[in-house]
Amino acid sequence: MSELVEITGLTKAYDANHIAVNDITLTLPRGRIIGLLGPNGSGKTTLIKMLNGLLTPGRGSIRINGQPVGPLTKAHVSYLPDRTYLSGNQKIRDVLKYFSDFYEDFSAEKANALLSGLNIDPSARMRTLSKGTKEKVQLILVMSRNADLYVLDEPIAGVDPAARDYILRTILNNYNPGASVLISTHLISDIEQVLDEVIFMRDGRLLLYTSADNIRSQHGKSVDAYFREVFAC
Amino acid sequence: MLGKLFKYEWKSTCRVFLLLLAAIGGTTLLGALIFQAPMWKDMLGGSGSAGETLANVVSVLAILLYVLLLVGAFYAAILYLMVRFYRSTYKSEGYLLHTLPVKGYQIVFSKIAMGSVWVYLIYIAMMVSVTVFFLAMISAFSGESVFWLLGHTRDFFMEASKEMRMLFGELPFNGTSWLVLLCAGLILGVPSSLLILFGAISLGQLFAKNRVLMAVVCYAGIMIARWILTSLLRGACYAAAALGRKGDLFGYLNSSMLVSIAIDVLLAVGCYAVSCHLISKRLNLE
Repeated sequence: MSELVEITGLTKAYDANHIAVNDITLTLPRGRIIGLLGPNGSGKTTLIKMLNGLLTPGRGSIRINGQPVGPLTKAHVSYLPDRTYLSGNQKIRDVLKYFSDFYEDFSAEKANALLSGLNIDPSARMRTLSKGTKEKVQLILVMSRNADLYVLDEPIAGVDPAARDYILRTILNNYNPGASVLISTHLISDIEQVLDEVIFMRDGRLLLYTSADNIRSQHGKSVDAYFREVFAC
Repeated sequence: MLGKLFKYEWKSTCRVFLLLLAAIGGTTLLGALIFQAPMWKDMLGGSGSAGETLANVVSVLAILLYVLLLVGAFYAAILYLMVRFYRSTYKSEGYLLHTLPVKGYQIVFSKIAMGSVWVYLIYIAMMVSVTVFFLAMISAFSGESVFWLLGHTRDFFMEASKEMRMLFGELPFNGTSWLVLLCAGLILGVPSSLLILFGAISLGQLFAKNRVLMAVVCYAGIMIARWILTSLLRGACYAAAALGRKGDLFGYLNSSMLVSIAIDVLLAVGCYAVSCHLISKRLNLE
């Protein structure tokens, strides 16, 4: 079977002086948890947004399951953005219905079970929830899909350590094992133990793509320590 | 998927538009009640010119307030549709909308279709409101009850339609065609206007900064282009009518209206294509 994601010569410039993603060529396999790591402004979110069709590349191409980014790939990519995208007026149960209607791979049973595990009332409106709970609801929605690729942009940023543990547990226990998970973060120590592979990005360029084990064996350091060494200011 | 987009667009806009329709209902009731108030009857029955003057002043103020509220409700509806299109398509909510497995044209079409349905409903509510308001006013002036007037509304329309037919028969141009074109213009004008507004908002997204301001600039540009094009073609119609063998200057009314409708439809189709293209091929969410 072909690679899950094939990125070729991908470039995105916001203006002449700011190239957010610069000529990235990359293939992502199936069945891996991949950390997309880099300091702020390294182009992680821009790359993720292009994978989800929210930004149009200036040059290059992305193919997911052999298809260019579009409605066909969106049916198989589950995306958690770095912001709240649900309207405050919506009730959680309405959002579940919305996801059920649009995504064939969405399991409302799984989502309800996860919500109930956190004692989140499905009849609550989004605006009544705390920031952390909103993030958990969005994560539950994303992880209740049986997708081929999960793209999670900063899923553990801005939440307390207990919530981080819950989020990581939810990701690990709920993703489709045949799928890949691409997690963008700079809180590396929190997710290091779950990563199979890591991508380092700097100034929009691909600096490194290797397995987490490779970093540990070749450099004798944890991914977090190696990241700090590479990106030392 | 289009059906599902319709359903959720309808559900998302339902609450605000039901409130607007209720506001129009409330305004109508208030307007009608003003003319039924005892104060009104006292003024009309008042001796001398002072009572009549007061009645005239109050009636003018009441009509003014009523028209302002009605026009306000209409523009609130359009403003809401614009803001909703912008927020749900190009701001945070767009992160959900554009990751749905749907095509760009389906997104634009669902928003235009549902927006148009709501504006038509507002139109109908406004027409009913104006009818009720004027019935209440006529009732206050004539002394007949509103119900009596309602009973004779059919007769009124029959008489009006007879007189209109006679008038159209006497007009030196085709009055029926003019009326048909007027109705077509009103019906097509709703989706056309929304498409132009949404197209301008979409064009504004092409800019890296100040996207709302650029959307306003794009809208102004489109409207200026529309005005120039309409003026030129209307001028050509006028010249053709003036120089024509029949010398049918009144035929100009029909042809100029046709020109306006055609330009609006063409602009709307262009703006629809632009919105679809930008959402499908040039999307750049902030």
